[in-house]
Amino acid sequence: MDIDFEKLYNTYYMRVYSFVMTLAKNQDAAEEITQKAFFKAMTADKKYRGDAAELTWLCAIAKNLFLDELRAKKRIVEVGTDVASSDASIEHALVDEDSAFRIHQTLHGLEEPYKEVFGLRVFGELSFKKIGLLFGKTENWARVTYHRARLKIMERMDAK
Amino acid sequence: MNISCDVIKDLLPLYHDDVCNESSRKIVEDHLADCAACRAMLEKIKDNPLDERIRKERENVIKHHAQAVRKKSLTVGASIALVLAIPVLVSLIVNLAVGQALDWFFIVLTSLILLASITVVPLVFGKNKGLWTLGSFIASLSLLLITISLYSGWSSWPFVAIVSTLLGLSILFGPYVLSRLPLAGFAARHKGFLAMMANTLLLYAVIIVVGLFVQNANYWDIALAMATVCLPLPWLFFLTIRYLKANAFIKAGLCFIFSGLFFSIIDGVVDWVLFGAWTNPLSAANLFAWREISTINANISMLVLTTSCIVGIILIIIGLLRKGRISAKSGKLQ
Repeated sequence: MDIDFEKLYNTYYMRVYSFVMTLAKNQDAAEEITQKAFFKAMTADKKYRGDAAELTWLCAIAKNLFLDELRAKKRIVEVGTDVASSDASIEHALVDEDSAFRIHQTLHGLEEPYKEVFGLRVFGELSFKKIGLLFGKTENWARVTYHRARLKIMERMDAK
Repeated sequence: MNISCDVIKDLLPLYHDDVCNESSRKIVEDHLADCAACRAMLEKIKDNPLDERIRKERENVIKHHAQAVRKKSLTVGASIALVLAIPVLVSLIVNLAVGQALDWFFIVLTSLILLASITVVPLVFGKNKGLWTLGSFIASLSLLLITISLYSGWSSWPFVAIVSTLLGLSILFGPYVLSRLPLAGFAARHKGFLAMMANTLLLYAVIIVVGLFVQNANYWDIALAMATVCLPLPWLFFLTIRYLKANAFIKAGLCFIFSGLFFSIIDGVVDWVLFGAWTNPLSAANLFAWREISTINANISMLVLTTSCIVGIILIIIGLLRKGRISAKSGKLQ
């Protein structure tokens, strides 16, 4: 059994990105913060392996980076330079990324194992067989769980 | 047959992905013909703008991250290269100022290039870092050694160093390099054989290069004879383990017997090759006398031969039993 490490890394990267999207609501900002979080993790802790247990830790780093940026932005706004344009750009970003933000917000609220199976399939592009192996279950279990996860997400997004 | 919608709902994902068996498929299709609700459910499964959106976003995000990582390692690589350029510049200026012409400067330059080959190269190359690093390491090491020899009274010692380094690297990294190279056909299916051939050829290359450097008339007979006499053992091991269709026990048993035979007669073979006189090394064996060197040698050879043959035969018997047992159980050979 050879699990594709690149695909798992992509899954975890996208999970952190998805989490940051629920905070930043803006694709560019979310990308930047996620990159910074991963670089910080890789340089700070030599034991960084990129497995599921560190997902929480990575999200914590990302959240702190987001709060730092927020504080920095607030300070710039308070100084008074370009107050009007910054307001407009934030609103503009919100409107644009609204649907992406809502998807990630819904994803964030999904229960396990739906969240992880969905993540592994869409973010990691792993086959149902490999996903089943990871959970110690069958390929069919992975397939059905994935479809149920999709339906749940669509239901919740329509409900909002 | 009246299958409930709940059961059909469970089957729909399998039906949509076309992994149902014949009878399940028929049941689903029969039900869908009459049930609008389940048809709508199937449409929901098919319709996936959500998936598309997420996949597109994911592609972008992953691509941007890969680009950022690339940029970072390129920056680090460039910084290291710049730092290494400082001693190069300094030595260039000093050599020109103090000496008539550039000489030791080239030694500094080639040694820093060697350093760059193991620090800057892996950072700068995205694909196949390992192969590029290994290649540039070998090239820059050769350059350095030849430069040193050029500027310190030329002799052919660099080639001894280079070829022996190549032999060492081939033994250590040969399998890795072969697994990464794009090989096809015969080469792809016999990588182990290629590795063994490469190591054997390099061993002879080392012997030749050393011989040319040492320039001793007696060297060639002894060196070539010794290498050729010793090589059969690792080759026998390799061919047995890689190509013999038998289970691990049988292979191990055979290898034990080969080693025992080899070590017990090697003395006699070497004597015969070098001096033309064949004596049975075991003839002086007398397990009750341990005083003279010849007796001790013979006794040890005898013991090694006996023990390894016994162990080998035991292992072969175990292997044959397992083979018999497993083929009796399930018709499959181990």
